[in-house]
Amino acid sequence: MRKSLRNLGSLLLVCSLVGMSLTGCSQKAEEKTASDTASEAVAENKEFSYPMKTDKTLTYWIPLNVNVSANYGNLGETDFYKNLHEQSGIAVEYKHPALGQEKEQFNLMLLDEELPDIVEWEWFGYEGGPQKAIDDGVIIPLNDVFDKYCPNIKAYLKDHPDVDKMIRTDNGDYYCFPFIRGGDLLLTSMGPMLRGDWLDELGLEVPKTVDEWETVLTAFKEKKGATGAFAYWYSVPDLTNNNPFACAYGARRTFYLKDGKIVYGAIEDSYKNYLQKMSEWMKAGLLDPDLATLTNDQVAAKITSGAAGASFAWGGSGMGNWTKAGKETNPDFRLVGAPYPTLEAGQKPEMGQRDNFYPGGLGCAAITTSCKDVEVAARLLDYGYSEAGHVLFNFGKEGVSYEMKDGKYTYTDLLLNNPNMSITHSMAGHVRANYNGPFVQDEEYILQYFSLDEQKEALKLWSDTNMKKYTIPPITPNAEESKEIARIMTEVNTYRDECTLKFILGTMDMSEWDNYVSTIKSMGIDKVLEMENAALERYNAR
Amino acid sequence: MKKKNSNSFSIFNLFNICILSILALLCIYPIWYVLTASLSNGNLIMQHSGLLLLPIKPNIAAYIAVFKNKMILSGYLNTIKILIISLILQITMTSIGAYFFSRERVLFKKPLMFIITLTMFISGGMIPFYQNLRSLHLMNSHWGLILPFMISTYNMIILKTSFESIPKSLSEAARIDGAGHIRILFSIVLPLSKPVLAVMLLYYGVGVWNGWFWASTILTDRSMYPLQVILREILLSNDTSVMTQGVSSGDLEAVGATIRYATVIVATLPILCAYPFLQKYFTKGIMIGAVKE
Amino acid sequence: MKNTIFSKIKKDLKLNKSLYILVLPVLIFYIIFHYKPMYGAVIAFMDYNPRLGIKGSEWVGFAQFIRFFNSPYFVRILRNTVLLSVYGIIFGFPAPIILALLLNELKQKKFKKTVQTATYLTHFISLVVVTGIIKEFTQSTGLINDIIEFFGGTRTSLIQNPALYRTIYITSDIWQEIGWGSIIYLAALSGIDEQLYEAASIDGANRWDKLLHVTLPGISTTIIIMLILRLGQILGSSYEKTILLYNEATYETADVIASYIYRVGILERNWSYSTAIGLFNSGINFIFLLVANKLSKKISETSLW
Repeated sequence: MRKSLRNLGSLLLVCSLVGMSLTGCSQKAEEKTASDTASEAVAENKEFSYPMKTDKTLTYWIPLNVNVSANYGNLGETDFYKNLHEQSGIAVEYKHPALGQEKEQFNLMLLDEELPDIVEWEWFGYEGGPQKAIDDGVIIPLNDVFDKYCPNIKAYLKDHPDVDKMIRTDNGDYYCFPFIRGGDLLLTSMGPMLRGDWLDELGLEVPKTVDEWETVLTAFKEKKGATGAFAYWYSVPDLTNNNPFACAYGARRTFYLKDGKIVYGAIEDSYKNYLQKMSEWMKAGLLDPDLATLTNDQVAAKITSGAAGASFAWGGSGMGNWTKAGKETNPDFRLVGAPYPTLEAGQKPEMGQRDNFYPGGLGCAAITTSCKDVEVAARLLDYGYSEAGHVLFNFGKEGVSYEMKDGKYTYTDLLLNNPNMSITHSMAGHVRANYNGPFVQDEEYILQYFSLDEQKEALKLWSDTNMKKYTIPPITPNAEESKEIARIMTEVNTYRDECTLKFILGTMDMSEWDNYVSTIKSMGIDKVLEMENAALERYNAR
Repeated sequence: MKKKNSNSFSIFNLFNICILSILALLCIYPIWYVLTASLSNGNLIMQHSGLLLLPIKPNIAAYIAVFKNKMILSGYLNTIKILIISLILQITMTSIGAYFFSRERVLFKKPLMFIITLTMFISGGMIPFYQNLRSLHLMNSHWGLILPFMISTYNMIILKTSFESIPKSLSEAARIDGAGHIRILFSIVLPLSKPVLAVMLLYYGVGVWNGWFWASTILTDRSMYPLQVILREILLSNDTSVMTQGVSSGDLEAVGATIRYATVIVATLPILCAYPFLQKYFTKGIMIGAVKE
Repeated sequence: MKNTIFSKIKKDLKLNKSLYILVLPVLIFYIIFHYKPMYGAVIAFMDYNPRLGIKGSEWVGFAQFIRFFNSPYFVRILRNTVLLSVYGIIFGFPAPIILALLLNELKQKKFKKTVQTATYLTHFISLVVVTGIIKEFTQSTGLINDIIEFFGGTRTSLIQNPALYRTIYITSDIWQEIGWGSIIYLAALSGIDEQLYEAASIDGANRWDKLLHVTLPGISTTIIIMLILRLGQILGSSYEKTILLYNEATYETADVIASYIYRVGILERNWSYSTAIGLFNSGINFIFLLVANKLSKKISETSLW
């Protein structure tokens, strides 16, 4: 029994390998006659219309978003799915990993011979790169599939060649139905914020430079009794990687583009200057002394109770929720956004938080090698990029979750003013716009999700940076490179995180800096940079 | 002489009572903290720091929210089902094993004991274990959480040690009377080991009740989740340092603090209540009475 | 010679036939759920790729072990793991025994029950909650700092101080497990023959004498078995508690083998590497177990097998 299973497994593997090389060949052939296939595809698609007539039920593995799991045990229970089912005609059985165990369970799932039909994951982050996922026989390349069954995503990619470039591997293979941010305002979701009512009371302006921030934070500490004037959720990589004060110094904790080359921010001199400043602030009591261990709750508590006066967080779950909570005990409570700080007055901020249009994170759906009805799966996933699908994923169902007002899709009170739950939670039952998925996110979502004027204002301030210059496109190192990079970076990142915090806390003196840099170099950072840059060159050559 | 003795007794007793009282308070406080927090106003509890002795603006909103969650109820039923089947199998299998290894003059006892003890320290690791469950068709089934955990070697050794302390004369007498091993085990050895069996029930029971890792790993159908997996999900929504660091987070909102605390209480209370029922077996007397006969 | 061994086996099988049949399900359990998956440990000597399986993956010999020994963190995590275990044995191991003995001396039945129930409560609280409470109490605004300030000290973040990490870890371990750990000793204490105490009283023994000559010998087997088992876990550490409790500032004293395996092995999908570290762990643990068992056999005539 056991042996036969294993033989079956290797047989499948061989099949998928053969299949892959075949598609590889056929794809090259197609490129030559792209116009032919395109017209063929159009001809074929004319006959097709949603809802699709099929009695197949697809299995669909997807990490359940926290905002959904707060009220639903399965994505299939949400109104979103009920509408999707009705409109697309395709039934889906969702499988979810346990929350907090996603990565472990994704890894274990790959051990199965029989995978779900569709797996939604951060395929860009697959160990060894997306090409490896195809080579491993986990997912299928989608070039053929796009041509045959997916007119909607094809149309989108045709209009957006930059995105088209991002969602392929070096070989030119498409590997997923991506989550795409459909506008500049959606690329930035977090930024610095502080107590507007305190600023007014103290007669201070919203700070723009690091020096002004220092004045404001000192005033918060001395005049308003904030024990740690600046507090944020340090343990979240997204937040700490984009720390606004690091941005002011032109420093980054991770890799970034500098003059067209990839560099490792944490060993640059700018990072040293930033750490120097932070350790001064820590000593002066301007930063929360418990920085490293703060949880979401605690940051919220500190901000709303006045133990902290400024933070760095998301516009929705941070500014929105905290303002609501703060107003309950103090009607004057008000948070305002500040632009990403600079060193000199009058400059435009260079760095800030900014995603690529294809963020490369969760929400990218791939079809696995186990899928027997590729067409059905493709039709389901392509629906998100159609006009009707766009509305469904972003706004839900007319009359229930949205209404048309002045030609605009407008969320109803069911979502925005639900007395039983927060906006984030109520939205998650009807749309996928407030997390991710295989569709193009609509800018209108964020403008309405941010119900406070302060939030909309802040979003504009936060978006106004030159970060685009520094953002690395979704490059795909090959399998060998990825493995080596992962091996080295695990060690490097551990060391960087440890030293960064020690520099800030002052337990490690700044005179140790050179030592720190040479240790990271000895761990092999130069080798990593070499490989990253090679991958970048291949990307640019696409 | 006598007087002095009793004097030192009372001083010792006083000291003893003091120490134990302090310890008890230290241990009760966190539960008390969780309980009062779950009954408090959500916003105010977040802003509170320091000692919490009474609920702030008491209300039961959090509990209403918890019981509205369908997953909690199904989690309860799943846990109870797994618990009952597990305990029956665990106690039976562990007793049989411990009985075997507590017998004397058994030739293969030592090598077998060695082989079994070895498994406490060497294992194939997570992948083979997982693949083994798959080849046995135990995936996405509660049996996959029951069968592989029927015997804890650690518990079996404890039980074996206890069986060995039962006077040999008792079982020898029974053998002479023609009793088989099963009868000796069930009518002599087990009744004499009630205290340690109560310990076993607690050890196994708590293990099953608090187990989450394999449940979250082999169950793909969320309606089959036991309570602890659901509890953990709710708790971790506040702490991303554990929440799979690589997975990009985006705009997340944690479940409210009071709801988290209320879930802890709901998920912990039943197993807390089981203890006093087992506790009475820990008192002296049962065993000695039997030995005297 | 051969004949005698053969006949010995034959005689034994005949004598204990029913016993062997009885134990069969237990042996089958161990074969299916422990020995069958054990072959998987060979991936420690491979560069294992799940899609290729054990047959298809490349053999790399001891490369995974060498990678571990050459890791910049090898010495540090080994030291941290061992120190935590040793402190755990010195401070954590005797605690439940002392509690059991103190409880045993109590005359007030109701109070005894109350203390017992109170101390075991902590064991049932989920680690996520426990570590959350620890972090809250040790932060600069926490309860412990309230006390420090009351006695004239200054507030600092204790949980970010690497020098205090082990103290916090061990203390909270004792606090959480002392009641639960004492259960096994209380059960053993309840098995001591009351007549022995009566006899000792008649001989004029005081409380201390009884403790030394009746109580402790009565539970010594249990203590020794527990100690041997504990020594067999010298490199065992809880990955869950560690990753919930540590932060970047305390890595230097907090990072242990288990948390390293979790970070490098499970999250980064280095199956072979993590299995190799696991094997190394098991090996060292097993050596400790063997030595402890042997020593105990010599000194006290108590042993696991």
